[in-house]
Amino acid sequence: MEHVQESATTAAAAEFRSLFDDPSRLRAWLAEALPSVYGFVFARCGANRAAAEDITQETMVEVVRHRSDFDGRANPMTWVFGIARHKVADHYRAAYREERRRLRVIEGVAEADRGAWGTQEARDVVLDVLHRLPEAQRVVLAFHYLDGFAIREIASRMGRSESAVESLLARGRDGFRRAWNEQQGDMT
Amino acid sequence: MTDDELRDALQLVERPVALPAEFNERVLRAMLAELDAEHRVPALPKRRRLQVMRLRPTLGVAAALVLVILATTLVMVTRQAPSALAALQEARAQFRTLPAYHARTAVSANEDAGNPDFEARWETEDWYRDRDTWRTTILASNNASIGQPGDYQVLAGGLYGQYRTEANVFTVTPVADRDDGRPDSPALFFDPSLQWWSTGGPGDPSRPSDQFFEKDCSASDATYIGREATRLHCPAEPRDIELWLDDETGMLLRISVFDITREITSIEFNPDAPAGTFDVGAPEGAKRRWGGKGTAPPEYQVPLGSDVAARYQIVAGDTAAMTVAAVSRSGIWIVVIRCGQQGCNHQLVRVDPKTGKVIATIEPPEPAFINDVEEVDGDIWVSMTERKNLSGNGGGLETAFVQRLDLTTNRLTGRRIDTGQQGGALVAVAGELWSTGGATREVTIGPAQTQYQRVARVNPTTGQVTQIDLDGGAGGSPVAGDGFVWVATSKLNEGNPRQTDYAVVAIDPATNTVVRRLAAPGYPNLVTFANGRLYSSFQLFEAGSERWFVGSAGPTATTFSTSQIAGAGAELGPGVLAAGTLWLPSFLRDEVLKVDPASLQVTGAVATGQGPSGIGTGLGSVWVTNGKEGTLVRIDVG
Repeated sequence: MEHVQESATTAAAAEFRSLFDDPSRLRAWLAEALPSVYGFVFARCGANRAAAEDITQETMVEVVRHRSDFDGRANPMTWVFGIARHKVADHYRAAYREERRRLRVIEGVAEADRGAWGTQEARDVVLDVLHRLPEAQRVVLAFHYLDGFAIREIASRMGRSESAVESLLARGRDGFRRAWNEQQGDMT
Repeated sequence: MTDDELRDALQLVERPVALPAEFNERVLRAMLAELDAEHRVPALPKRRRLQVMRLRPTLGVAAALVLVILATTLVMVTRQAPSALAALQEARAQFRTLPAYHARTAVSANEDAGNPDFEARWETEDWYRDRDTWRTTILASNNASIGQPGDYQVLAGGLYGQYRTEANVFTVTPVADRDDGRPDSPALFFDPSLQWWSTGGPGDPSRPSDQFFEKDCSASDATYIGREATRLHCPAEPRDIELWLDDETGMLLRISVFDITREITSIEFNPDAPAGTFDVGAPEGAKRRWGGKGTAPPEYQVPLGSDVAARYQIVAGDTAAMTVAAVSRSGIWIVVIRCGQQGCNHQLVRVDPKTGKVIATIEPPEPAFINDVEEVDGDIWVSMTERKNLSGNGGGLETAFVQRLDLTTNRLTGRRIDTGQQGGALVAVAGELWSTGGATREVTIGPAQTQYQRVARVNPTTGQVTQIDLDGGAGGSPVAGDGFVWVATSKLNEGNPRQTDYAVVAIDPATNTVVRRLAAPGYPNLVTFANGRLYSSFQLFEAGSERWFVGSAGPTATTFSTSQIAGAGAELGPGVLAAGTLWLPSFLRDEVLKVDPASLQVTGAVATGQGPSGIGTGLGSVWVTNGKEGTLVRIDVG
């Protein structure tokens, strides 16, 4: 039985890797996968569209680089999400200290996410609320509530102290609820 | 709004969204380029000039001159002006064989990440041999977030070094140990493929496409810093976009886009670099820090302070987190987290306090992780949180619980006692456990609805759990003292729900009610209660910056007396009181600060190793875990 399972995972890995030998199949797979990867990244980078685009692209390039590491035991998308999660953390760890963030040319994020990205009303409400919070709080909220990361994990991924993350989470949680309630009040 | 509702709301944001075809194409191009790079055979050096914009008849013999003039005239008559896209594509091809160079650059930026108030000017000196060998130094900067003059980065021999003058620290990381691979060379910003340009041209939501350059831009001859160049001009709002391409190398000599202008102010190709230019070495007197995985080589290990009595290697190398959860005769209990691309691995490590040897490594039951450890009447209890995958991508917190650990078998045993939702830290008082991971409750403050976490009081013998309401939500690590249990809280300000109030409250175990409240200047990290006073460090956020304080409060106080811990990047963790001194680990300083509890002034520091991330006291010592090197340090305090 173990042998059968091993063969299945090997075949799944080979099938996935073969995508990269055929540009037309790669294009088709990308068209299917990219919306999910982008959504995954967008939520975790504080609904920052410019960062989400960059990180999504970096993730997919990383997928190319490390495709031989995919062993077929997990769903390929789970594996891709793992890389994306890592890239988001890298981005914020680097942005905390590094020059490169200062070299970006970022345009407004909130307005650009409407229409062009096919958003819907409920999602727009959440985006409105999120954009009232500082970026670091948004990111910590996503790591905590979407990924289920413990404070220690978030701290290590963001290169911050545990207490800094705990504080960001507390303020982000309060801020989100406060902004949410204000938003609901505005709508009524 | 409950935690579940908050999570549901966030999940709306992460769902798949329809993407513009241009974005798909951009990503596909990047992936194909990466595949192409894997198979690319190094091209022969090509040092031809850009052909698209110039016609330069060569002087020669008369016949040749006539032929050239005729040919030139014919070309000028029959050929349209080449496009900006053609110029850019040729430059990209030439740039692949970029020669070594020595350059000075200048950058001015008036916006960053949507912040219109951002303003920075800086200059660098760059030495570039190839993508794996370069050095860039900041010569001038008017914005501290960019760096300071003298800061530098160097990459050579597979090692990446980074020097920060402010901290006087030189950090060395093997490229192989960097999660994101080789760092970007300074040449990246002068690459005509515009990899760093993260947003698009006018009306284009992504990086400007080739169509943008084809349709919106024009090309013309130019001279820039004495070099023959091609200037691309693209009308745009609020200001035109301009690029100058070096004719010989394809390099971007200058780019002006939106509110950023980056330019090379002088450049020399194939220079003779002074000896040592590419040495990955620290300046004289700088502290050297190892940023790689695994144990730091001896030359990068932090020289230990004289107060350090022993240092034990607990786990190999860098960890994501490493904290002292409890100190008891049964062991030093250390929570270790390691993270990889596919998630984090949590372990509880039991260390013999006499020998520093690892007695056991305990894995929490999947899919739980460990919050804290506490000893009750000789038994070890572990606080954990069980994850529940709600989003399909690994997310969601579910149940916090405590469970006893059998000291003979080193296995979690007996029934688990559920305490609430998100996991919490523990303190033991009179044979009972108090956890900040209690059940949550809904609260309405003015127009705002929120959710506060209770404190759970657990009788480990009977399994009975009592949930205790606080004036706010519980957080951090509780401490016991003066007959009370002290807990850090945060809550929305009732008069102004835009503001969060921090406090420390005292719970009377006799009544399970809050009997005292101390206002806190920032987020409290409780240290201890001793000599009639409560000690804590605080993190204060103001105008986007963070400041750190240490403070204490006496028996009749309603708030804390505080003193600021000077120095950027202190990032204080929770501390301990031992031998009449407050000990506060500073993760970024590689030190544990010693603070006089009476004056609240820093009186000294002990170098403990890289990344002190946890601290505990007991058995006559202060115990410090260094997360970046996987070590445990013992400081004997009598």
